[in-house]
Amino acid sequence: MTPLLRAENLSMEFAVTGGVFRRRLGAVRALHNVSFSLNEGESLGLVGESGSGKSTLGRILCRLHRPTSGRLFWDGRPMEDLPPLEWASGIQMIFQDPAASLNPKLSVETILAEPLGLRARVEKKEPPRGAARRDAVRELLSSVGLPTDILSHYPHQFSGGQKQRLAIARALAVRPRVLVADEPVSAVDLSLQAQILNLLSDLKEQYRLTTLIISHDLTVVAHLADRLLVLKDGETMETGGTAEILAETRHPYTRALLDAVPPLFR
Amino acid sequence: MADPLLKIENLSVDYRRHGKRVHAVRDVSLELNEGETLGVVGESGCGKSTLAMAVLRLLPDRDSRIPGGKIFFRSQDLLALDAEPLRRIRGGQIAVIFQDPFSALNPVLTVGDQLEESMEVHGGGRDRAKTLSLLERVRLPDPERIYRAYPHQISGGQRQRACLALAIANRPALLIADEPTTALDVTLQKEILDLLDGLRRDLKMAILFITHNMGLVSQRTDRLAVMYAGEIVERGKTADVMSAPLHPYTAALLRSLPRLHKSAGKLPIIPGQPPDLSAVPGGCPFHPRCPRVFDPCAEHIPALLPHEGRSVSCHLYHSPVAAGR
Repeated sequence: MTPLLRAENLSMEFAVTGGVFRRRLGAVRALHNVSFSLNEGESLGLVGESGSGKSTLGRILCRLHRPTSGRLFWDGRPMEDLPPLEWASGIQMIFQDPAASLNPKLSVETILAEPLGLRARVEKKEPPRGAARRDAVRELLSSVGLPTDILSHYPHQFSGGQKQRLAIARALAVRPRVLVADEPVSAVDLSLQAQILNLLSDLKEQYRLTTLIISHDLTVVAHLADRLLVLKDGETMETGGTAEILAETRHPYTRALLDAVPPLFR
Repeated sequence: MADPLLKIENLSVDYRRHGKRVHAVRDVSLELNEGETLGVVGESGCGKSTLAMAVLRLLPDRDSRIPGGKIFFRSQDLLALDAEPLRRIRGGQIAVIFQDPFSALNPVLTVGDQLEESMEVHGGGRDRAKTLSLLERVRLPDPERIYRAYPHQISGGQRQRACLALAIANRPALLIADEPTTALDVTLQKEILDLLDGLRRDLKMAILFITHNMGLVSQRTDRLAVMYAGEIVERGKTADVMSAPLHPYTAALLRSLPRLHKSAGKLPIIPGQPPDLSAVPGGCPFHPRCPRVFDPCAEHIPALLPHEGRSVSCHLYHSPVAAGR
């Protein structure tokens, strides 16, 4: 079986520049030779502390960064061969801070209509307009558990949890096969985190959505991911099934992360 | 027993926001004894930071108001103090560390300068050897270098240690720690909390932890107050509250958080969302989300009353008639 997504020896360096002419002074190695593969419907958890490269990896997958070296394959095809539109409709991302990822000047209808238009372009159809567009938006809203009478509302009218739902709806609008969730609940109210985590597991089942969960919180990743990839300073420390790693980790760094989880949450 | 170190009595705090009154803290009472650790835990917007700011008298004068209540520190009424005696207490007997150590430090002064300035203001004078020993005390490597460094030249963990050195410089009796480790990596969090534990024992300092982190309070506090929508809903010994929460909010919140070794599947959620503090529902503020809601909840505000060795504000334990409300 061809994995849906495969990463081969991904490395990423960011240039450090300085002085008047932005001379290149050196490079920061954010990611070094990281490989993994992800089958359809599977979920992979990326764990690590800040600076471990986990967000960089997520951003490379969404083509927000171009890796310094290494290759990405989609359904067996190298990423370079895929038209950007096809990639964008295949992989979508949600971010830690939903407030910052939503344009405050756009209404809910406009925010969701944009990716719906993108989907229509991929499917070589006319983008929906008028009543059809509003229906499609309502359908999206109800799929993430939001009320359907909020089409003319703006992001500031929602709570943190509702904003994250809206961001998830926007990501789902293009019917992606892979969803990258970067710290999906870190900025969400404590009493709403379970709602968002349940929504993510529902979506995983309902749409057979392949997911990549990025978090520093092992309990969040352990809850959502079938497999784990533990990163430190841009390098893979350990990878394997979630249950196996939790039961018997072989790596001292993973051990340290596990020990940092308070007994209450073990 | 001696008077508590800190005593908060029926404190309320309002903000004015967009012409509306926001009731950030409502009728909160708390006591903290010398050398004790108390956790005030709740989600964002529950009023826990406002409470801390009120104790430090750091609430903005223009937009906030204290309609009622008293705060006693060593039997001295903090709310009645003038600027000068207040300044001697703040940074002296009461110190604070915040979530973001970078914005808590002055970017144009070296770490050494800031420490010495604080000790000078509180009558200690400038003493390089003493400053260096403080830096050692918070386990900063290479104190000489840190002494001369500006905040941007040291790492996040080192900055929080520098803030801690600044906080303990004048041997406070009370340290208010407002989300002290939220901005730090998990492995660093443990180091800072261990350090805090040690300092508390050595200096016989009381700590008031303000946090949303249930794991932190479960491990690091003697007693605990759970806040929801500006009110304390449950208060008691940490071990008691964590092992057998009485208030439906505490119980539901603890149940809803993911565990490492629980099978996947669904988490038990709390429906709805926390209320807007300018329009808190009548009766018990948690009643629209409560799994155990019954008749009196929408009508009567429950009082925080003793029950089985702790305090809880819920009609399940105290009938509104008996409570006289």
